[in-house]
Amino acid sequence: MNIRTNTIPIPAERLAEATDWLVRLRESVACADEMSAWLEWCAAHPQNLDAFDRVQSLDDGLRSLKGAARDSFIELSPPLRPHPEPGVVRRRQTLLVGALAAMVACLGVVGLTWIMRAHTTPSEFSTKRGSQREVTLTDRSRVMLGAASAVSTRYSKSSRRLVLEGGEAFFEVQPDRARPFIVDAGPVSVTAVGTKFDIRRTRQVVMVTVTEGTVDVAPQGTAVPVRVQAGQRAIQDLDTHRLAVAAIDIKAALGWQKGRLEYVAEPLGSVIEDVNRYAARPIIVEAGAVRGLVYSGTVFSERADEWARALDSVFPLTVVTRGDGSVLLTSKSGK
Amino acid sequence: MDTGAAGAPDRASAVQRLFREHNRALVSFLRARLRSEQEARDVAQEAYVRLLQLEDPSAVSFLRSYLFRIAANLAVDRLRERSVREETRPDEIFEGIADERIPERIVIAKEELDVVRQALMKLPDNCRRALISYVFEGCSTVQIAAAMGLTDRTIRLYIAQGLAVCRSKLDAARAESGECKP
Repeated sequence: MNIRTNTIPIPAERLAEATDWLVRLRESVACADEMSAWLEWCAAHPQNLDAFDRVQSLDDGLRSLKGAARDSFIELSPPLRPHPEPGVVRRRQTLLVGALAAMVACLGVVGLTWIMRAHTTPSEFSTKRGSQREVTLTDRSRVMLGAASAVSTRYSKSSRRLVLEGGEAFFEVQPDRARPFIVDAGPVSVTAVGTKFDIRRTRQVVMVTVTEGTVDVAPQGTAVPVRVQAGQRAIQDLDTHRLAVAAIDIKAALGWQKGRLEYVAEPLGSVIEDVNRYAARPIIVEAGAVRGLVYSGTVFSERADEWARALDSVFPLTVVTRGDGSVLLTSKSGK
Repeated sequence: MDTGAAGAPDRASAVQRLFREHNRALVSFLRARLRSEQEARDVAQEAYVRLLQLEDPSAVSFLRSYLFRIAANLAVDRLRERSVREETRPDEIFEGIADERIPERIVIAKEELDVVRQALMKLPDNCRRALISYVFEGCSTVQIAAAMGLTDRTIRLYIAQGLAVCRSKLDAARAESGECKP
């Protein structure tokens, strides 16, 4: 491993394949299938791992550049299209401004089309803390609502539009090519034709999990939707505005319908917000206390309150059960 | 079929074989996640230890996927610890997991940076744009695809080809100067 034979040239196609793996391994969750594919590729040719290490070293080296050296590379590329202002693209700020502007524009258009469609019949369904509900819509599509969740619908002749106002819902869509089934969940809109999928909303993320068929996920302000297949989950991070798609265990993702809330490497804040909908008493988090903490594991929705009270054994948190039964989480270090 | 009685020695030799056959693939995989070769090695080692301590002997047949799963989970823990340590940075909440933490700096010589810059300049516009957004602006392929109005697959292709060309040129320059380093 220490003996590097770097003078032996590696063909560009092999380096390109290696780079593709680098991108894949960074962006995906490590599922068993992907790991098998990765090992197969590693074993397929004696130069493959060398190629991988070479592109990884170059990428790491370039990423660790700072100041003028870094700028000298960024200057080689004109800014990405959504921000037409001239000059150098600096990190993500300019991207965000562009996305926000486009988002505002989108909201305007959506609002207008809704006003123009006076003949639609809106209706709203919601659930309370700790309860679930199944609703059959007029087109025989079904919605399974998680706890403390709300969905409103506006059906018209040309489209079936729904809004997930908050919480989580699973959608089983009746096919109807003439009337697309579109769910808006905050800054993300999801389009499906004859398919089954789940959307979960928290303040940090919107997650779209597809169990059958495909859906298109379009974060507001982006031109091209991202196609998500059965067995995949798209996660839109509301802070970074990043959309990531990864393979997922469907059974685990839909466990909430059977009282099992399963999480893989999810920010603790978003997990607590989710569990909170099932807890009998509110879980209150002190600002910043769970920042940077990540949770993997299963929470039984019936025992959500116990789970919250045990968080201090896993994380640097102090748990206080208050007089009204609510649970307060504060940072142990006191910042 | 593994029987309980012969479980432990079987497992030790099975883990040994895993180490011989897959250690490099495992470390490379972990390095992609952790952006640190040292940490990748630490985590791999810990994963082998956990594998040896497995209580369920029937798991031996799944040892390889276990190894990678354990290692991936340990890597997530590492990243979490890292982000907790760096919690004092107020405006970066979940960044540590996604990117940008580069604990080890791989230093590329100035002349070599020129070689890479030259290679980048010769790339087609879209290809160069995608690669620079990916490497220097910390954008994901999906983000770049959305911003450029192209498919995710195309962006991946651009990044793959672009970085491959840069690495080829760098290797060629190094071969010429007779150097030998990663």
